[in-house]
This record gives sequence, structure tokens and C-alpha cells, in this order.
Amino acid sequence: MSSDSVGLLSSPEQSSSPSLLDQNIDDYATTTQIFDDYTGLNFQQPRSPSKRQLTIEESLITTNDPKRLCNSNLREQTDLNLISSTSLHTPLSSANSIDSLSIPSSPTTPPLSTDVLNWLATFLGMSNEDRSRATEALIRTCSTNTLQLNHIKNQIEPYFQRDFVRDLPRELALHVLKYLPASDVARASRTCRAWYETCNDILLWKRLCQTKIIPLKQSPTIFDDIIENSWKRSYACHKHLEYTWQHEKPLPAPLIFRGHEDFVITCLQFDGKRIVSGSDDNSLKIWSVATGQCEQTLVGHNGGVWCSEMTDDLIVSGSTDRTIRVWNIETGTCQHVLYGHTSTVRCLALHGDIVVSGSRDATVRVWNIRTGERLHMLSGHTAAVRCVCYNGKYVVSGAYDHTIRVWLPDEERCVHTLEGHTNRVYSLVFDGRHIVSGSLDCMIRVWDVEQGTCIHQLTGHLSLTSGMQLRGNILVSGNADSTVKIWNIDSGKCLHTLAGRNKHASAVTWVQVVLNYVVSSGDDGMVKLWDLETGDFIRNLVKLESTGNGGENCFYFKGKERFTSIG
Amino acid sequence: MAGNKIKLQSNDGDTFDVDVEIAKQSATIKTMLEDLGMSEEDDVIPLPNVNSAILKKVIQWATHHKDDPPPPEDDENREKNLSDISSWDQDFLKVDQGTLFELILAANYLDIKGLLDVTCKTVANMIKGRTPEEIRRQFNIKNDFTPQEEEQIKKENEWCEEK
Repeated sequence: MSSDSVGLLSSPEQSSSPSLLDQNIDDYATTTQIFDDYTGLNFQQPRSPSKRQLTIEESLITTNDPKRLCNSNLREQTDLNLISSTSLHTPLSSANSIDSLSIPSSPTTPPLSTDVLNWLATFLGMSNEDRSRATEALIRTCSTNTLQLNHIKNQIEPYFQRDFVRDLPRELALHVLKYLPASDVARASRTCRAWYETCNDILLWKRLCQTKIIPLKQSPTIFDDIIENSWKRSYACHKHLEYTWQHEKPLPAPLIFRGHEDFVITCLQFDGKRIVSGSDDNSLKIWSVATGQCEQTLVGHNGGVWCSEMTDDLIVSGSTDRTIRVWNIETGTCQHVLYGHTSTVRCLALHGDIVVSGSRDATVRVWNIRTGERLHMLSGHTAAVRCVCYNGKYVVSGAYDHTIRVWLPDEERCVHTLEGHTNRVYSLVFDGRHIVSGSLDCMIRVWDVEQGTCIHQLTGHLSLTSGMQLRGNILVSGNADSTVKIWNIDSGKCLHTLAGRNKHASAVTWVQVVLNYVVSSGDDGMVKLWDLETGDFIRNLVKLESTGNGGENCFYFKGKERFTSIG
Repeated sequence: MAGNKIKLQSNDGDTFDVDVEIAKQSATIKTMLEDLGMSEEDDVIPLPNVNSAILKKVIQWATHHKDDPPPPEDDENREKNLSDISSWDQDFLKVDQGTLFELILAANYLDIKGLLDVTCKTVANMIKGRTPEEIRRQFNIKNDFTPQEEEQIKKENEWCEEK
């Protein structure tokens, strides 16, 4: 195509664009060719320089559907004609001549009149140059009539369009889609079948999830019957949850689980289907999330239950009766009673089949929950062990003796004693490299597990840090001073303090990072939602009558569900 | 060496004299040169997948970008920025869709990452923010879903309209 063909075909703004057409100096592509293409002569062009004269019928039928033009493989094109079609043409028999003269893309168009056919015959009989001039003249004649001009434009435009997603090799189509945000990819999938196929590429959605740090959702979701692509489904769940949380739509009324009346709930576990609550009434209860019904009551402990853990099929609980019990989650039967501690079992950490327990007897013990075997005892602390972590290699324990100890349990060896806190250690998080500890001395300390050194001391809280969560280098801490703080543990800097007029009215009892939010619960009976990045308050999620008895609140979030326990 | 030229030949027979350094933005050409050893003045590199008009555009782009630092490696886990197309590139890519299509194929064949990225980004910008119907109009696409399919697929993607 040459520049004059563009000028001729296009609206003024198109002709001013520096397209390749303007710069094309190849002299064999002329205006004529465009008309050949439009009228169907193009198919033979690359092959035979001397054209065979087509009948009008043939030339009209050959190609007027821009779709067909897109099918050509451009890599194989031998000319620079943008609109040529390499599809082979079989000359039509005269039998279907006049009916098929209607343009395929608009099947309702009536057959061409004899006048038009004669006029076209004249046109086809012209030299290339005359055809160019005739077309120019035709357009100029129409130029006073906007409707006709628009009609011409609409007829021509499709020839300059390309279905990139369908016609590019898949990896290139995906390279285009990679630049789009998820909502645009989702919307684009509604265009047509070919786009639907490409826009639902599993790796495309995996990458979209990864940019937002959205994990693959394994548990059942409301999108299960609607979205097949598991990564897209995870993304949709995340988006939908964000939407529900951020909008001041009233949240569904909380499901109330009644039990452990007049006693304190001390611990909660939640796996998406079941909630397990432990209480100082000596029992644990298993609740169905779907129905709100108590499915099992686990009876056997002779003292209050103060800690619990759960796996797919087992529940582990620690009690003031000095024992640990292992329960079958389906039947509610007690499978093992683990004897050894000489005082209250206050904390548990589960890793695979191994449970680590910390006790007021100042020891840490290691057990196999499948066999009920006592594996190791770690002694060295000089006061009650309040919190414990285990990553399969190191056991980390925090105690009322103001220290934290790092153990290699298989060797029953204490590798580090971390000293620095000046009061009882109440909370710990451990990511395999960093240990973060919260103490009654109001400090949070960050330690290096290998070196056994204190990297940072995070100052700012005014009371006991009750709950912490670590995500990458971002730490969220909930404190009895009624605030939540967000820290960078690499720099030791406090990034945000979640306070202000929307802060909790009393001690923060638990914090959890969900998606890009912080969820905090307080003694004031509130569960609040905050923005992890900005530290802004978003909304209250739960508002319950304050109990004010200082009991421990804990809650878990998973997907859409959330659970709060008021002690 | 500066000033060295090579000849690139399009599939329709035209040859273009190009500075070696400019041509080497194409990893494909760079590999060819290195595999052949530095060619003589009159050696011609045939590019059977690129026609003359597109090759001309590609050379124009590569000439303008000859002093660019090498493009950074893709960070798969970062969101892509759609708006960082230089105004020169924006002008350069004000072409019809057919030309843009061929430029993408050529950039891919010649392995010119910067050009491939900017052309694909341009197409992405043509999709971004548009409704399915607008996309169909933009690229002349026929809606080939049955009404039932369309309903199902609408449901599948409703969440993305929640703002």
C-alpha cells in the first residue's frame, strides 16, 4: 500500500499518523492492490504477476469478510500488503453466483442491482491508476454527505483491524495480556471464545496472584462451581473478600456458638470447616462452621485447658492437669495421654507429627502425637515457659525467667540463651531466621537465631505485647496499651501505629495479617480492620458487649469466615 | 568497531545498510554475527521473516534507541506499568493494527526485547478499561458465544466489576 491509498481511505487524523504506509517506498504495492484485495484479486498476486481477469462475481465473493484476512500468517507473507489474504480461492461455479454476491459479513444485504454490477465491471476494467482516481473521485463526491462518508469509513476500517489475541502466537498474546491488571484480563475473557481461552491461561493468573501475594486457595470457595481456573478463582475470592470488607455493607450477623457457659474460652483453632475451643471448664468443643452446632465435646482433662493445636485429623490439648491429650477429630475419642510435665502445660507448638510443649515446670518437652512417645526433654529455664515455637529444626521457648532459649531438640541441647528482656517473655514469633519476642518489659526484640544476637529492640509500646505476626520483614504487634504497631524488622523502625480515634478502647488481645489487612481484636469486644500498607483504619468487623474481665480473646480468619471468642 | 555496517535483507529483497551496533539490538542478528564471526562489508544477513516496510520501521526504532541501557530483566512478580511509553515511541507506534501486528512478530523474531515490550504494551493499552463490546469493536471481533455461554462467562467474571 502506498501513502496515497491511506490518505484516500482514512479520516484526516489517520492519514497524519506516521504509519509505515507513509514511508513505504516499495513501488509494487500501489493503490491498485488495495482494490484488488477488496475485490478479491489479491489471492493470486504473489504467485502470478500477470493477472487473470476475474469475473465480477468471483471478485466480489472471494473476500469481503475482514475475518478471513486475519487468518493469514504474516510471517509468511511475501509482500507488505497489510490486508492480503493467503487463503486459497476456489473459483465459484455459476450456480451460486448471484445469491452469493451478498457480502458475507452482512448477510441481510440484498443482491447487487444490475446498475451496480455494470458500474463495478467498468471499474474493474480500468487501469490501476484510473481505479485510484475513480475511487478518489467517488469519495470526494460523497464527502458532502456525512452518512455516506461514514459508511465508507465503516466498510474500510475492519480491514485495518487485527485480532491480536487470537492471531498472534499464544506466547505473544500472553505477553500482551501480561501487561493488563486482573480486572481487564477478566473482562477481556468475555470478548469471544478465542479470547476466553487465552485470557484464562493458568500461568497468567498465577502471575497475577503472585503480584498481589495471593496464595492458591485449596479450601472450598463460593466460586467453585463458577470458575474453573484455580488461580483465577483464588484471585476472585481475594477481590470479593476485599470488596466485602471495604464496603460499609452490613456484615452478615455473627453466628453465635453457645457453650462453655460461665467459663473462659482460653484457646481457639480453626481449619475452615471446624472450630475447636478450649476452656477452663476442663473440656474442648468442636463446632461445625456451617451449622454452628457443637459436634463433639472432648472430656477427659482434670483441669482447665489452656492451649490447643490441630491437624487434619487430630487435636492436641494442654491442661493445668499437667497432661497433654491427643484426640481424634472425627470420633472425639482420646487417643493418647502424654504424661511427664510436673505443672500446667501452658503452650504447644506443632510441626508435622511432633508437638513441643512448654510448662510452668520450666521445661520444654517434645512428643510424637501419632505414637504418644516422649521424645525429648529440654531443661534450662528457671521459671515457667510461656510460649514456644518449633520449625522442625529449632525449638524456641520464651519464659518467665526473662530469657528466650534456642534448642536443638534432637540433641537436647540449648544452643543460645537470649538475654536482654527485663521482664517475663509472653509472646514469640519465629520464621526460621528471626525470632521476635514480646515481653512484659514493654519491649519487642528481634534476634538472629543462628548468631543468638539481638538485632533490634523495637520500642514504643507502653505495655505487654500479647500477639504478633510476621510477614516477610513486616511485623504486626498487638499490645495491652490498646494500640497495634507495624514494624520493619530489618530496619527496626515502626512504620505505623494503629491508633487514633478509632483505636481499641482497651487492651489489644490478638492480631492477624490477612491479605493486605491487619485484623485486631480487643478486650473491648471489637474486631477492627486496618490497612497494612497505610496503617489506616477501615472499619469495625465485630462489635460485642465488652466483657471487661481481662479474659483472653483470640480469633482466626480464614477466607470469608472469622471467629472471635470472648472469654 | 564503531561505524561498521552490515547489510540486512528483507524477505522481499530490499537490503538496508545498518550500523552493527544498532543491528545488534536484535539478539537474533547478534547471535548470527557472532556465530558467523564478524562479517565482511558485503556480507548480507537475510531476514526471511521480515518484509521491507516492517524492517524499515524496526531499523528506525533501533536507531532511535541505540544508546538505551539494556532493558531490565522482567520481574514476574511485579505489576506491569502500562503508562511508561516514551512519547517518541507513542508517536512511532501510531500505526494501523496490521502494522503493529507485524511489528510484534518482527520484534519477536529478531528478539528485540524493548520493541517487543513496547508494542505489546501498546496493544494492552488498546484493551485496558474497555468493555467486551468495546474490545470487539476495537479489533473487529465477532461475539461467538451462545447466549447460555455468555451468561455463564459473565457470572464467572462479575467479581472484577466490584469496585
